[in-house]
Amino acid sequence: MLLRPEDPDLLIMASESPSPPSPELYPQTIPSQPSDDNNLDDVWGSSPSSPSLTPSTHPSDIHRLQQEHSTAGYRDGITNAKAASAQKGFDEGFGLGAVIGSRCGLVLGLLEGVVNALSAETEGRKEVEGLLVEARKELDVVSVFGREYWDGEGVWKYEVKGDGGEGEVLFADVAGAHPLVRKWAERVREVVERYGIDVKVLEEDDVKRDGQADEGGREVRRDAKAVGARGKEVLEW
Amino acid sequence: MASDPFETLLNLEDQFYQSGYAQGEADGHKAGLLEGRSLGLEKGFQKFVESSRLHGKAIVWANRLPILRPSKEKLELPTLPSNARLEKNVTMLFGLTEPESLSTENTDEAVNDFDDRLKRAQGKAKIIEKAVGEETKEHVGEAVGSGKGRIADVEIFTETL
Repeated sequence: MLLRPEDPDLLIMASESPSPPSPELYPQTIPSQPSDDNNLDDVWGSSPSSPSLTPSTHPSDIHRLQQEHSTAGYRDGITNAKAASAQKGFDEGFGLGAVIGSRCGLVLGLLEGVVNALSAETEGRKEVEGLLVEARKELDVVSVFGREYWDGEGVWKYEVKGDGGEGEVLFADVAGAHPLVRKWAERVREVVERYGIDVKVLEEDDVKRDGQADEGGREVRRDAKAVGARGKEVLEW
Repeated sequence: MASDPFETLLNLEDQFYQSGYAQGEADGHKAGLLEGRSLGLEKGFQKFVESSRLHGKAIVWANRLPILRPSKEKLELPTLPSNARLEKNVTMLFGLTEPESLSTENTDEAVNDFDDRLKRAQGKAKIIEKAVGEETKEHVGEAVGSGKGRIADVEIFTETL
């Protein structure tokens, strides 16, 4: 999935924060301050002096030149860098979002399955239905990625313990530690136990996966190992 | 280059441009990373919440099919009648949505595979829902499912996926 460049944003950023003048560029082209100013330096400690305040034979030209070109450079720089890094960030976020989404979806699906299995008059159905409604609200994308759990930079605020070797943090750790994920994993476990559902029901494989009945299944299995290894990817941000 | 002030002057435009560029690059890099990350989190979440939701449903259906669940000790849900096609569909749905087998990477290959499987899974889920009489509005617990596992003419549903 490729990100589209978000031009409006880029333009806003570029015009809002043009780069400040870079003092290092000046010393060679602008005469340094006369030495008799040095006594002031004792007071203001302004050494090296700020170039834009330095009287010069042609200050406006230099200034305009700098303004113009460094702004153009800034604009190009931000556009190019952003285009490149946005995709990188997206790829990182995608993987973690996927793992979290996967946990949440399972909760919703199990609850839905139970609610649908029970007829309206069955005792207990109302309760599970209530859970489902609540889960849909809490495991919504807006709620799961709310400010309560994430800072503005796409980093989780809640505590995560690394489970990988040497305390490395994996996607699965971050997903599993999310307070809402934990809460609902626990709640759904109760429901699953109450109704005697075996969540590993088809995992032991071969239960009934034979022949063509299975095109999907077998392919899927083969896949599982390769991905399993990659799934352990260590988090880098 | 300090030895030739004239040349330095000519290079000035370029120097200004470069210094602006460097700063823009730094700012842009960070901004892009953060924006991309947030967007990616959301997108990845949305995709996988759906596939796993179907997986959860497949688990419950499989539990209710005696043949897929040999040990039926203490199942407190109505069982579904034996039906080869239904069993096959539930098994397929389970396989198509199995989280361990779905790559969470954002590569063309992985995303295409995911999209393809999700589409097939959604088709399977619809077929199963019809078959077991759980034709409900996709959302909200106003599920009208009779839940009795009455199978209406399962065999007439043709699989288009």
